Amino acid sequence: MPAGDPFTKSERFALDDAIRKAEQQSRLEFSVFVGNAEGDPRAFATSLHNSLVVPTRSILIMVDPTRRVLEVVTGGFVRRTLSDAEVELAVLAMQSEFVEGELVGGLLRGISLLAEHARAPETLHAGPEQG
Amino acid sequence: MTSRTVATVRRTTILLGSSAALLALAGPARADVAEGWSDPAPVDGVEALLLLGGIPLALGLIIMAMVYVPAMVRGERIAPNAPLVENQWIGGPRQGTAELAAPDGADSQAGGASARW
Repeated sequence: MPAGDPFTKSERFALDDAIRKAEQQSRLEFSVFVGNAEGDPRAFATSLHNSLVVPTRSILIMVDPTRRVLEVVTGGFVRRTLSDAEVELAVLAMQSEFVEGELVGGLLRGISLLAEHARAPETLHAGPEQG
Repeated sequence: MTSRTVATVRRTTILLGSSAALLALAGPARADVAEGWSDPAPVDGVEALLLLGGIPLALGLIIMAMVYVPAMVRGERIAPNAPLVENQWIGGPRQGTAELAAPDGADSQAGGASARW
């Protein structure tokens, strides 16, 4: 692991894998930024979010381990299926892991929870007919 | 001038005079090397400067190299106040944070949540 890089190869692989699964599960785009938030954390996080390819369909998780700041930004389309209250739950779960020093564990848990909550509810009437 | 001041001036004069006399007497004795002692050649000024200044400077440089070189080889940032964590953006654009879009304004449609720990 190069100095300054918060992840080992295996941790990065785990995060890549978690993001891929979350995107498959929720049909949304996930992005994780771990680094130094410049200025106001929320403004910086929205800058990052707006720099993504499709911000409205994207969920950005920003963590600054130095300033101990966590921000999750969801796009307008994402908010149709993922409410801010559900994001708050995921943020609390991540926060509790970060307090224990589990940066990767917290991210994996947060990604998983966000994907789970963001999954569009199955429309029963559109399913295959029974019998 | 009071008698107390006169006494102080006299005492000071005697002290300074006796000290000067002692130094004047000791001066010539210092010039001769005692019998049985070694009589090394006078030390060159440049040599003394190198010895007294160069060795501490070299030691300082060696210690600095021992501290910084391993960190530089590992690619660590050694500048003061360098951030502890290098920016990592998984799923972000290729240019990273070099060209960021503007932050959201008051009419933002984005949601989310924040926390600190």
